[in-house]
Amino acid sequence: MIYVRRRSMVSYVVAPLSVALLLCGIFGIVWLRSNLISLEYGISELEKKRLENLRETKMLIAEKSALLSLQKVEKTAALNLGLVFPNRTKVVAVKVKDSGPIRASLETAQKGNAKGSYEADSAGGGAL
Amino acid sequence: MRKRAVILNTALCFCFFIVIVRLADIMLLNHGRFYEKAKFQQEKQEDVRVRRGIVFDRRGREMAVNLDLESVYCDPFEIDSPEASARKVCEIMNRPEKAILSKLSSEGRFVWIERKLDPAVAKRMRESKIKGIGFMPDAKRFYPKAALAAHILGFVDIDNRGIEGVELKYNDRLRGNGGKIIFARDASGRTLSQGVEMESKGNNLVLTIDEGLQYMVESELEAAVKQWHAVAATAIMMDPFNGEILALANLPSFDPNKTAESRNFERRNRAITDCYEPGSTFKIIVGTAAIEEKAVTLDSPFDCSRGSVEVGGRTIHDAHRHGFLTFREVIQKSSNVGSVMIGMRLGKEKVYQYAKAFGFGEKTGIDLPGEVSGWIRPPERWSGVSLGSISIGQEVAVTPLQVLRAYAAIGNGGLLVRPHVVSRILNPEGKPLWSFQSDAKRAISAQTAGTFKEILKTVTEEGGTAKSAAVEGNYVAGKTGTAQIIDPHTKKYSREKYVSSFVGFVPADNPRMAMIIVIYEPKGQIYGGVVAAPVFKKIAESALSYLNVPREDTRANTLMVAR
Repeated sequence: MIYVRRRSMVSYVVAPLSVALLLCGIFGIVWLRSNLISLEYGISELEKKRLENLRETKMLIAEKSALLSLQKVEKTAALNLGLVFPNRTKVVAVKVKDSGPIRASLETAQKGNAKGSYEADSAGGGAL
Repeated sequence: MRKRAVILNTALCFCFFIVIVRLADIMLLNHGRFYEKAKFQQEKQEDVRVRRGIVFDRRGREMAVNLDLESVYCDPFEIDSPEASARKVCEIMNRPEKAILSKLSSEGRFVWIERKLDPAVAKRMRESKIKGIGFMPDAKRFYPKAALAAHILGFVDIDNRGIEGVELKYNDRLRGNGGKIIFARDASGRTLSQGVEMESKGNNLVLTIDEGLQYMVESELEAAVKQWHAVAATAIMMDPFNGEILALANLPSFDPNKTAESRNFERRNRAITDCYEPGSTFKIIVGTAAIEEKAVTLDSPFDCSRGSVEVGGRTIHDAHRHGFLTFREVIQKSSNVGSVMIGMRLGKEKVYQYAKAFGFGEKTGIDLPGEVSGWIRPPERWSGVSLGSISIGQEVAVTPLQVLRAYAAIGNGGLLVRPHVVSRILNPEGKPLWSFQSDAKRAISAQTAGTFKEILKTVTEEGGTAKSAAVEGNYVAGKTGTAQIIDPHTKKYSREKYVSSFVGFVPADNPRMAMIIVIYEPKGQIYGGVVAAPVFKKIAESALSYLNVPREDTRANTLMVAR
């Protein structure tokens, strides 16, 4: 008797499926890897940009510091705006009703004005 | 058909065999050689960019920062025509062609052309794409305030190593750690990110100096040097309670951004490296010693009517003849004769003991490089004249900072503080790593300091030697000094060269600042009360306004306004 081995439907499906899975796996790995590489390129480019921005920031900080040097500020204030440093002999005292630390800030002055809490000191003889 | 298949199989096997043999050659036999070749192609090594920390003043204003510039180098091996390349480079950089040509034609694979190029020039060079020319990032230290506080900040060399000032003293703290990073790169030279920080930052320093006060001090000192045609000048402002240096200036000075243009004597920090004979400012020693040892009372009389006194065969004169003076008046009028008499009453052991107690002959310990200790000889080596001379501030060598520290001790109640210029060290993220811990030792009792302070207040009042140091609205305590300089040729005291000084503190009863002004070799006038005291007054007036210190002639609950 001769037996003929009949190929089942499963074997028709499994073989191509295995091959397809294998190929998909390989391509998947390659695709992931290439994505990773391009991501690294992207990061590298961004890092370069970041360093460039940092460089610019440092330049700007240096420029700002140089522009804000008191020598330049005084020059501008005195020559262009005609300002002078406060002369202590021309400072007068103004009474402050509420006790606490004395701060000659705008905020304090505004609060004080609102309450009307300043009045000229008789010793100083001046007025706000 | 079968024959063909055999031939095809054999050919295929042979081909595979060749491939396998080649792979074995690459991967096994010559692995090392090919590995090196691949590494050379695929890897790129770069230095970690080391950035020095930033130096701030006490209010957080930047005093020393970094600029990211580029340095340009060449690989002479890669350059086809050095002449043509040199011409191009010179055109862009505006440099002599000969110097550049010698660099482009030299041996070796790496030659610096120019370090720390101006960004605009670097951009033009990059755009010109000259073969064999490469660029490297390079940090440059930049001092945005130019010459301001130059002697405190110091400067760095081309490789950013500290050479002077806090840049040198705190070099290890300011410098970041270097190293190298290896990147993978492709055939076109593009690098892949390694996800690591390319920059290593050093720690930041916070100074005790205040840019505003420093500017005031430098401006007034410069004006005084011009006015008196002085050779040099020094001024130091310090918080007398904790030793924080608020300002320190020397003239002549220099711009740390242009150190190549400065000369050695301009870079010298005279405040701590130069000694001078203090003259009358040293009378603090006999004065405080006499009070502490109860050798005198404030009204003890001294006969100064002769105008001179003889000590060990030398006659010491007063600048002006006085009559009988009380102890208080001896200091107020700065009588040499009276001071010598006090010194003789105390004896040399006591005078030496108090000079040492005030820290003379020893370094103050300030955190700046190059400080000298000055000198005062031990009593066993004193001559017959020494007691008289030392009582009036001769035969001793001191630094301006030592004198200031001694007067600060009078201002703060008798404690000798350690002067310092750095208050805190911060890590690059701004978190504190270290802060200065104050260490003070007692020089004299608080009672003696208080008594002597009252005497020093009279110096700036009517009848004192430094009326011109008086500040309207606040009491000033201080002392003038006028010292002769020894002529190096004759080895005798010069009659033309003097050091004029004034040292004091203000407001006298609760001082916000102690300050010394030293003017070297003024012309026209010599007295400390005329030359140095007005500088003190001008600086003190501006500084008190700047620090919002109220006038003492106003009530406590008043607001100061300008009109």
